Amino acid sequence: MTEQTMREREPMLAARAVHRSFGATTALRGASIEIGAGEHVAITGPSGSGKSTLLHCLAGVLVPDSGLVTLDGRRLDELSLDERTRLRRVQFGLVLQFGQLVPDLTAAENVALPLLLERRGRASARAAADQWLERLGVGDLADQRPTQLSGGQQQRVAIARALVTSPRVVFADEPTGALDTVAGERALEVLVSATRETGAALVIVTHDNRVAAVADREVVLRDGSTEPVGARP
Amino acid sequence: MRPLWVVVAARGGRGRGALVAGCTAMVTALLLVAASVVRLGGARITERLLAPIADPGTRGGAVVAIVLTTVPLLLLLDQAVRLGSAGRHRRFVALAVAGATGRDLRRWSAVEVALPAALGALLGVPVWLLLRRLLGVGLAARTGALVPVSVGPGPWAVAVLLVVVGYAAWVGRRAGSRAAQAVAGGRGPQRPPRPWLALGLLALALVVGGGYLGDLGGLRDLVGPLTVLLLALGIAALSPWLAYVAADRTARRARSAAMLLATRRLTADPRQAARAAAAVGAVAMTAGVLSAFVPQVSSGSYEAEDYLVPALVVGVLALVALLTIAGSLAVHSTETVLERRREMAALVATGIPARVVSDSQRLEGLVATLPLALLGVLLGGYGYGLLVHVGTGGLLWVTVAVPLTLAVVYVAVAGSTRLLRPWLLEAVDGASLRTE
Repeated sequence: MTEQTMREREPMLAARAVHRSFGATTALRGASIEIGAGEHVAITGPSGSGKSTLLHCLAGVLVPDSGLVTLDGRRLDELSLDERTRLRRVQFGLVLQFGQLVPDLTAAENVALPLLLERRGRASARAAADQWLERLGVGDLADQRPTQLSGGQQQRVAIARALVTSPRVVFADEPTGALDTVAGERALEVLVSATRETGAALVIVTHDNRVAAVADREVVLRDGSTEPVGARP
Repeated sequence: MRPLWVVVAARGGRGRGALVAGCTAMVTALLLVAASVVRLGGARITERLLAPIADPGTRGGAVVAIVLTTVPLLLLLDQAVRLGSAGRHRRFVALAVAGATGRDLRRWSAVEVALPAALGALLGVPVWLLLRRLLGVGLAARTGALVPVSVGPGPWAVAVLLVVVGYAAWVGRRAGSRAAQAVAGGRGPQRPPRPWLALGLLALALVVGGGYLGDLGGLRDLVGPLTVLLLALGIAALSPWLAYVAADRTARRARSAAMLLATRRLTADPRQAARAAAAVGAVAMTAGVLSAFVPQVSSGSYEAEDYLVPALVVGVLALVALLTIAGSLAVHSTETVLERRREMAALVATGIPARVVSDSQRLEGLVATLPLALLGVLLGGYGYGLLVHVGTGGLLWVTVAVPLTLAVVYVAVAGSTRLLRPWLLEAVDGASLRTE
């Protein structure tokens, strides 16, 4: 086997035997998962099974107590805090269930925020934010504050913020959980099509089978451990 | 089973209770000092007091000055009452679901603050007695007493205690009112603050101050303190508008994420931060006046020591006031972040460094205080300097005092934000995103 073939087989993002506790509560007990470039993976499981914790470990938001999380073979826990923060900003995008937009900023400012940190000029950051908001169908709401938007519109803004840095992986934690069926379906459609279009991998945490069905592969989490279901036919 | 109001009142939190009690103790002690100066009346004074208190002509001004020193503490009390508002909101929601009315919530909120305030007011009496010992008996033999000791405790002191507890209960009730509103569905968008009341007060101060130049006979002694009081109130009332305008202008040009977060937070709710920062103007005005006054009495034909010692005391009090205000601002800013714990944790999770959130707190404090400080020091320094003709030399000192005052305000605000950083970092930790 050539070195190139080996590299191709190496998953872009992987978690191996990850354990994570919060005080006396153990959320993850040896969970493992692999995600390839551009792949769409759904992490499912009952409430309290550790889905969000696994997603946060994969995204470098939380550091596992033991086990490894690697991106392109590089351990995330070996990165400094600043490096991990920048990695999340540039290579990852994050969409949560609710409460993720800064209420005092307009939709465009929320989206432009990561770009300002990347030393993009104000005008350039604003233009990129406007472009993404337009693509996601909320361009006319760029100057509205989150409290003036519906749940579905807020979720589109959050998706725009997750995608504005052209990330390699987008993590979505119950992205439709706080929305009604129609708004949820639209937000999911936008998320899936935008990530397919940009070639970003998508890791989506859900307990909704309809949401899981849009993924290429499903991984089930039970009591903090993963049970691979395999690729869809 | 304990009554419900006792259970609710006990849930206020120890830190909050301690801060409320500490503030009310100091306010009570200072008001007792002011009341004892008032009780000296126009009578002949037998004890040796500092010139501004001994002289019936300046005694009114001394009382105003002492009362003004309570303002930063009252503003800190206002912020202390906000502590733990996220937890209180959850508790009030649960109580509302269980059948509590808005009136119940307001009443419990008032009791929650009034109880530690009552304890603080009682503690204020020994603090007052200590001040009488240190700044009364202790100073009488040397420079003259700052706190009269010839006026002993009496029933009037009880009235002071009741006023302080009553005020604290009102602050608590107002906080409860806001919380009850939030439980009932939240407040609508706030209207930007308007400057008209403040400008009216400042204009009135100019009119009254202008009277100083005319012939007012017996009223002349009242003009000075009244002008100072009106100026201080005017600048304090101007603070929400000034903070809003400064934040709005800066937000439009903000190039950094920290500045954008700070200025937008301030634009969305300028009143809370401005309330914490309101007394900065008065402190800066004091600094400005002192910068013109001290060179004037040092070089003039005055009994310099009679005036320099009170000036020094006022300077120290201004510095203490500034530190108190900086503390209020830091409490306000951290409480704001804690109220938005999830949004901030989400922000950090998406790759915004926690340092940026912390920087935004510092910048918010600076945008709320620096314009106010600049206005205060300019009004105080040049206003006083021109009114009493201190000359070019005196005005030169005012010019030096301007950047110095701004630098001290900067250090106080930045330092207090830095002190509260550990709480902030804990609040924005990824673990705050957990929903399961």
